[in-house]
Amino acid sequence: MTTEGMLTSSSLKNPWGRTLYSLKRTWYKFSRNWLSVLGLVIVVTIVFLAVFAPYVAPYPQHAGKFVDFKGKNQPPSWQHLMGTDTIGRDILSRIIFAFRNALLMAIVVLAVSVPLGTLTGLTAGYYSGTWTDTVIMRVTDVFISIPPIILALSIAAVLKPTLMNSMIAVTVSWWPWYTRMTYSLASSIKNEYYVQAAELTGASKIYILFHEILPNCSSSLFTKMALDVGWVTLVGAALSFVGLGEQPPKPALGTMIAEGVERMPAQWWIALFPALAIMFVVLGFNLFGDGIRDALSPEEA
Amino acid sequence: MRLGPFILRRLAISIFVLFGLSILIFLIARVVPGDPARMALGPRAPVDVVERLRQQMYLDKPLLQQYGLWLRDVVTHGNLGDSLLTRRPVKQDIREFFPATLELVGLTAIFIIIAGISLGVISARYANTWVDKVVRLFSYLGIVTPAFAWAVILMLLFCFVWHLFPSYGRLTEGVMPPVTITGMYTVDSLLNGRLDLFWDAVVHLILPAIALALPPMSQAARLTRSSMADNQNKDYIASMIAYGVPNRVVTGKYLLKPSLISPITVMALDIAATFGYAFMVEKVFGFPGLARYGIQVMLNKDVNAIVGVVMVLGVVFITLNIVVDIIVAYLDPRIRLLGRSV
Amino acid sequence: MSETLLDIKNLHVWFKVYGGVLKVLNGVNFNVKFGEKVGLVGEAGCGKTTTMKALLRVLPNLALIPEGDIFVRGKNILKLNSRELADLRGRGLSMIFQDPTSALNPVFTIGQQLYDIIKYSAGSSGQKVANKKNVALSALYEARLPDAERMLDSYPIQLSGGMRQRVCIAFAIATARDLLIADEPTTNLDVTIQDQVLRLIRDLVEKKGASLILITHSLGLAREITERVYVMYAGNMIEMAATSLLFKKPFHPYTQGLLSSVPRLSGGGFAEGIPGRIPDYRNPPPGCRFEPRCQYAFEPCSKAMPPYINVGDGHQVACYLYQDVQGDRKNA
Repeated sequence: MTTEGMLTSSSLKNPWGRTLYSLKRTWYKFSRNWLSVLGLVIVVTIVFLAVFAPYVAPYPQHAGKFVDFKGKNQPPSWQHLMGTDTIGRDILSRIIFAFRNALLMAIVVLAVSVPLGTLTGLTAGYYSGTWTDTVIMRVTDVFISIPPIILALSIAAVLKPTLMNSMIAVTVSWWPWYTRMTYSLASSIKNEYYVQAAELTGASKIYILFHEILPNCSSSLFTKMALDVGWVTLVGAALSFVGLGEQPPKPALGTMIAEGVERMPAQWWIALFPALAIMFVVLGFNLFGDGIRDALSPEEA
Repeated sequence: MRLGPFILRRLAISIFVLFGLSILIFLIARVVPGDPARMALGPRAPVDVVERLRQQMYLDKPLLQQYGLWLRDVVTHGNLGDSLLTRRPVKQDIREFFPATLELVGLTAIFIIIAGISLGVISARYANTWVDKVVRLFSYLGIVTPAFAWAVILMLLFCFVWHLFPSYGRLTEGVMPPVTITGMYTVDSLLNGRLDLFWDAVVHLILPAIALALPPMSQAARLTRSSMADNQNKDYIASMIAYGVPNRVVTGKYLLKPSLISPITVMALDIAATFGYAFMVEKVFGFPGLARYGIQVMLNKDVNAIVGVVMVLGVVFITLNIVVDIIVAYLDPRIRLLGRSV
Repeated sequence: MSETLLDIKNLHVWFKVYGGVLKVLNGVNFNVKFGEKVGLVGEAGCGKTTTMKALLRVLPNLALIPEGDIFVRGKNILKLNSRELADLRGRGLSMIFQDPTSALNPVFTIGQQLYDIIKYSAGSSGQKVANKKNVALSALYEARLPDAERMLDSYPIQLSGGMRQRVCIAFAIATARDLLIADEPTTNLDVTIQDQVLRLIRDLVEKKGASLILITHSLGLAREITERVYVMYAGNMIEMAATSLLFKKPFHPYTQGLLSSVPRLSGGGFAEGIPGRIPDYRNPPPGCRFEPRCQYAFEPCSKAMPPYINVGDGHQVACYLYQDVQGDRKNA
């Protein structure tokens, strides 16, 4: 009998009121930390830039085939806030377009690896101790024993370097982590009384997996997903740093840094700004993800 | 089960994983479109020369047999074939480049462990004071900045703005490396008794190691702190305090030990991942290590070398996993005795 | 009074949470004499454990004490410096928690934890305790644990629930202490073990001449073991009497409700519960906190918390129903 159960205000009597209340409370928990709100602002900015890139970037045509040797290697100025690169392209615009690809990769990678990983993890966790568990987890182990970045690199290296292939590579390296997380959550949740109760009342396995166990994993899942957008972007940048992934002249954060490194320290802005941009993305999604974790976590008694 | 059988079990599983990995990478390597032999010799080599090389590489045999033969070669001779790029045995390439990266990751690991745990403990001890806030801010920045970004920033600051550190290579130009024993310049120079070489090697390692260490170190600090904060309110801590055990003993011993379990696991993962991020830092600092070599061979589809690099790394990671499992089992008797945590 | 070991006066404890403050303890008055066995009865969530944690000064960080004092052997422990606090903890109080699994550090052996408790029980005097192992072994033996030697090298995970609780008891009695607080010591144990553990606690307390605070939600237990009982509700002590008196004639409507909700073996139909729930600590009722559920509530009940009224033989009730009985003196 905690005090939480005592709220008897009439707003909770109807389902809409309850939803609104829990949304308000989630927002309260989220916004208690100004950093989380900052994260949200950053995330929204990045998404906005990515979606409206052609309209927002000062020189949208620089993101494609564009060459202007006269304007090359310009340091930051009012015309080019982040300077130009070795063939005269505006760095700021290219970064904005690079956000597009980064977000696209993150969405695709997560859209595939989260369901795949979660399903396998749930199954293995629920059937833990049986052959299903052993088989699934051993296979996962093979993938997990290698850090995702290395696995992604290896796979991307043997395929042709395109955006699609690097997305495939990252996805393959990513899903086992969701398996592992869901597995450990599911195998402890399955021993909870409410799961046993559901089993006893004859609920089907599918029902139990999706209505009893999965919702209790959801806060960890959402947190990890939010954080992962940043990390996938990072791995994607690592891939393009090496030349895998989006090929020039299409802009990618990693490629830009690679080009810039050659020009250090004289034209420092070519490497620095894309590096800062990646930091910006990772920072934003990290703050946001932390906020989500705080917002979804249950309160202490 | 006790510690002994536990280790054996982990070893057995690891060998299985190693097999799985070798199959995986072998398949990927062989599935690569294009004829490796042709690629090695170039488009103008005569057909019979190519054919001979194909036979040498067992490319004409069925896939399963190829795998078996390849495995035999690796296990008995350590023969991984020749690198198409460097035209040397892959084994030799690896022997040259691997210790460099090992040194780098080693120093990085030392930074991560020492700084990560210390910062986490300090942060927890002074929780919610300005010390804590500063450490948390710093560690947050550390986490979100990828290693190569730190590499760029550190290089700009410490090599070009303030000329404190070198920005290229393992040793200063023209300096002869120490006599090779392990291949790691730091260790070898100490073994050689050459302190000057040791210092030179270290100086070249510091910036890349810091760049690589900052994100995982920050993560470890955060985890240690939150782990300690979580355990702070547990009954067993309240109990110890209520019985009069001094705060410093409670914090330093009874709070720290159970709180280290999850940071150590994550640190191990991060150290393993460092091998991957090392390539970017190696590239920025012109450091000739395995990671850089690995990237080059991957880009050039140097099949043998790719396989070799991946296998070496695979062994390293699996070893790391085992070591961590052992440490965690030592720390948490529940795992040792039950085979799982509570 | 020199024979009073513990005296809690008007203790308020608040917890800072989402949306405000939980005013959990609302002016608690509680005392224990040397060698006395006192029971603290109340339903889950009424503040029993919080009171004890405040007493041991192990409240979590989000708790604050806006008002009130706690005197142990005459000293106000809320105002102690760290040296004095160390003395107090080393020799004064011990606590057995409800869940023995979480009360034992899982990554250390029983022996390691016990040795440290013994080592630091000298408080600030820094005396070395000779022969820690013997002390430890005898404590385990007194707690009726088999194979004490092996126990020292065991980890909590290797023990059963009953054994763990007995280990906690061993911790409590390993060094001489004046007060043992047992917080629902048998709730998480099998029924067959419950009896053994309780008897053990009672025997040890009597043997060592220590005082006992037994916290429980089971009236039966309180009746068996204690000499005097406090009934607690929603952050206040609402009734206090010698055990036999309380059970013979409960005065407070809540206590009456509790007693009548115990099913009788002698028949008589189903027991009646008490309708309603404990109040929201964020917005507690301004007057008597039981008032919303009380069938006898009348005009003064919602205005202010009732004072303690002596209804004879040291029996005290915090209820306006008896305000005309022997005058209303607020008791210490």
